[in-house]
Amino acid sequence: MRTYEVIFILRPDLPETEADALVEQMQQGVAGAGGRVTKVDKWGKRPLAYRVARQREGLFVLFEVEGGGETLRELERRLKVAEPVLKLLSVRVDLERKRAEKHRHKREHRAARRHRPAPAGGAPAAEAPAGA
Amino acid sequence: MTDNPTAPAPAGGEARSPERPPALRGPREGGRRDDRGRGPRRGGPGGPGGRRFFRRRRVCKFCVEKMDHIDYKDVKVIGQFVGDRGKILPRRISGVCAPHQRQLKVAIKRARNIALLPFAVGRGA
Repeated sequence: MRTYEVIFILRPDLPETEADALVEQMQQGVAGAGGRVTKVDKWGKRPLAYRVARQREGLFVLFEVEGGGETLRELERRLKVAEPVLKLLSVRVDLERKRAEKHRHKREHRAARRHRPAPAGGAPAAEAPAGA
Repeated sequence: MTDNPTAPAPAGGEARSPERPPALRGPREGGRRDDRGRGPRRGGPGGPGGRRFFRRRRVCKFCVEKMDHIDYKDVKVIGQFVGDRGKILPRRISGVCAPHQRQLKVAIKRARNIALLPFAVGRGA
């Protein structure tokens, strides 16, 4: 089982009911192909960084899908066929997440070893020029 | 004419200040807003000589914030690391460490692909 993020952009002039219907339809498609949509995130309308199909904004939808390559292929095919979809991107995320997790663990270990009395809070560096 | 920086200098007059010394550049003039906080000045006049002492080593933002993963969806973060032409900022300017720059590179390219970031800005883009 792999985890993917599939993000796609719908035409901005698509009525909400239709957008919802399409999302629903895609979810069913995933289910039909032996996968599972674990997260649906509608970002709503936001500007595109460049024009796509003469549109300057789009409705972004993010799926998180669990399934194999077959599942993804089917989902991508459906998305590409669907008319209101301007663009799509799918990214496999399980490996990256695992890696990030590992790094986090490593760091925690290191921190724990460094200060033996294990200060749970950890004093943050006092005067970093916090610009963000 | 430092006491009147906003005067619309007539063309031809005041021939002395197309290239004023860097010390005279107030914080609000010259350069865009988002040039700030990105390490040493980019490009501008003055050339590479003589400014070396001003450079202080910037630490990697991602290391400071202990981010293990750079998300392509996070335009706010990623957008800081592209220049105003949409190009990826080099490490020597942003101060990002090599492992994070590699991740950042991938994230920016993904973001471009899904129209969260531009491929190019300006002239014909």
